[in-house]
Amino acid sequence: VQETTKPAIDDAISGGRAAEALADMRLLYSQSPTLANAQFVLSRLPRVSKLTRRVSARVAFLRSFTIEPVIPHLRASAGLHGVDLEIKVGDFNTYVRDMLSPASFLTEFESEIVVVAAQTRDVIPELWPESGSIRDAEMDRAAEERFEQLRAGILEVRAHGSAAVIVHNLEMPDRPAAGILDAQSPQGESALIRRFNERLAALAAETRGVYVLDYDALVARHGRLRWHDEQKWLTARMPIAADCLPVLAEEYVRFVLPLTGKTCKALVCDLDNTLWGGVIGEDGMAGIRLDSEFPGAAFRAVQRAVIDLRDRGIILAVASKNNEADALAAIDGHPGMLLKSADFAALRINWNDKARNLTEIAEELNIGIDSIAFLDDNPVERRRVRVAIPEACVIELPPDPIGYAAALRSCPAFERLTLTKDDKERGRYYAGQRRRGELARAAASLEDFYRSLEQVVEIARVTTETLARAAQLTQKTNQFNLTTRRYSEQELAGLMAESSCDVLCARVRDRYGDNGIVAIAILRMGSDRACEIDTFLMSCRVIGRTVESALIASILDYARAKGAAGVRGWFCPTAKNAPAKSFYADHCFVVCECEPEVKPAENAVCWRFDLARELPRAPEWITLERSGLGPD
Amino acid sequence: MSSPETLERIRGIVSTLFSIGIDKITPSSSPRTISAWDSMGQLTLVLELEQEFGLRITPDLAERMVSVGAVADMIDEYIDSRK
Repeated sequence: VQETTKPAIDDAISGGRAAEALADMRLLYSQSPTLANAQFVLSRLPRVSKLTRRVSARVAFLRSFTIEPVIPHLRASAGLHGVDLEIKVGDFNTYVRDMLSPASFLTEFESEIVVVAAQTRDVIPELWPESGSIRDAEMDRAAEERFEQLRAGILEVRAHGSAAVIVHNLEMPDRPAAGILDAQSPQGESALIRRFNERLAALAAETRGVYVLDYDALVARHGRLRWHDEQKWLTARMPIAADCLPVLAEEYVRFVLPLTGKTCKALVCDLDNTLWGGVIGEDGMAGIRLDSEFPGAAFRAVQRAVIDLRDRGIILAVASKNNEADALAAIDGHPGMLLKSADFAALRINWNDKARNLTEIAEELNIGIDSIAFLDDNPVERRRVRVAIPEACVIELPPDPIGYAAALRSCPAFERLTLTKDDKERGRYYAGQRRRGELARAAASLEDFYRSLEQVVEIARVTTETLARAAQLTQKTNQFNLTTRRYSEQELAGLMAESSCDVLCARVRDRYGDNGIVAIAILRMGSDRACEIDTFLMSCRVIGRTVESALIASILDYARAKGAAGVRGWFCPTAKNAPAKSFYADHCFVVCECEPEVKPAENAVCWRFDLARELPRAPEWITLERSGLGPD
Repeated sequence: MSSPETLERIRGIVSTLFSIGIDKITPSSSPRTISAWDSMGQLTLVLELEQEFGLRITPDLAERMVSVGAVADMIDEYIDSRK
């Protein structure tokens, strides 16, 4: 693998090899994240942007210190992940004013994400050693007062729009004023800061759309003394050392990706020298290294990291160049293996091109190729996939396997802002899915297959317990989604509170287990006795099982019982929702002419069902349960 | 006088950081001729040089960074001092 240089990237761009240019830009910035390289990436990204689906977001920074040098890093890093950020930075150390009068700067900019970046020495100078001798009671009172101020500010920002708020917590001092005595004192600087941070975490836990960036842990992880640059602080009010700026930027990206829906759903792993040491085809079962001692321990650590991702709801798969029988024997038979073949939702153990295998895995799992992350020790394979599939997230690994687990754990594409029960059990659904697929191939006819699934569809109103999952589905579902309207938890809660709105969800059980909540419908009753389908979406997990037919039959029945004369719905085509294209036509809706100004999108088509007609019936092989939705 | 290699690297850095064509950058290019080289630009340049060359730029050194040529001289002195 040749060294990545900026002239080589420019050559690739001018030679029409955009995918190569993007691959090398990612490598360049991951190897050397300097400000000049960040600027270089930002100036070249527009020329390769057609390769990937891009999203954009507006981010406002309310800050107490000079944060400007972080911004190019943040924009470059997010840009390489497919997110174009427009960023506005508030005035120097006016974060309190900016939060408390958000109508001015924040709403004008229409920020979608607000970062409150304030540091201990500015928020509570009384708790920072340089402030001189201060009595305990004053420190305590200052901490209390400043917490209330921050809390009021955060709530004010939340009240004035739907922007998510990311707030830094407070860092501990490098060297407390009282020395080692500080750790002995329940009223010391560290104790008071810790208490402040606990209260901030509690506030975030109980306030939707508010998230804590653990700045104290971030600084500690990289070393307080290395992180701080006293000289830049005193000369330019910039407290952070040059080589820590990209680290802070990446920490912001961890929030930006889940907030903009740019996260990975699946991790595809190589086997040889990735999940175990050595090559199974050459070294054999006894020769591969995988145990609790060095060097096998490094690979066990990788497997443990993979398992933690599985428990976060990441689907696992394997792509490995091997004889399938050898590899499977090792996966299920080697005593050092923590993962088993049942943990993987798809297996591609063959001698084919890895890019082709990844594409097939995405198809098999019914997820977009841009939801795939790839873990492989071989830099040639990594580059091959980067160039062939620019949308995929290829995890860069250090030369030494001891660093693999840490590299995997720190990949921002796996970050989640909430974790639902469904997320934790996703791995099992997909393992079941592989068996369902086997059954589908065995079933003589499609109807026999549907019958054999013994599906039960339970439709209910979304409640506070299911709100997080419902919002997540609106944000993540791309394929079977008729209008692709994205809702945050608070927006959905708002709809639930409206008397004219019904926010419904469906849970699907089958003979292989509970699939959890897999569909959302939002209905809006108009004054003209027309019921509008604002949202109708279904997780790809249950596509092709006629669940949608049961749902629409149920919705039409419900709308009629509520006194509607007709049901109207839009289909808004996107690059990904072709699976839902014929949904309304398949269920006897007819195209209706609407005023062009009410169109939700340029190419949207409006469909209508007249409830005076006979209603379509739910497929006989599905058992429908409607809880709390009886004809009231 | 700075070495041609160092001068080239500094020209490249200044060109990328301040979004100016490299052919327009000479040893005498300075905050007076490059509008993006303001006080925030100076901070950005200091941070870049610290990361790129692994040196600490003290306020005294930063005061000497008045042109592309002066920056190259300063970097060369640092490189020589490490030999």
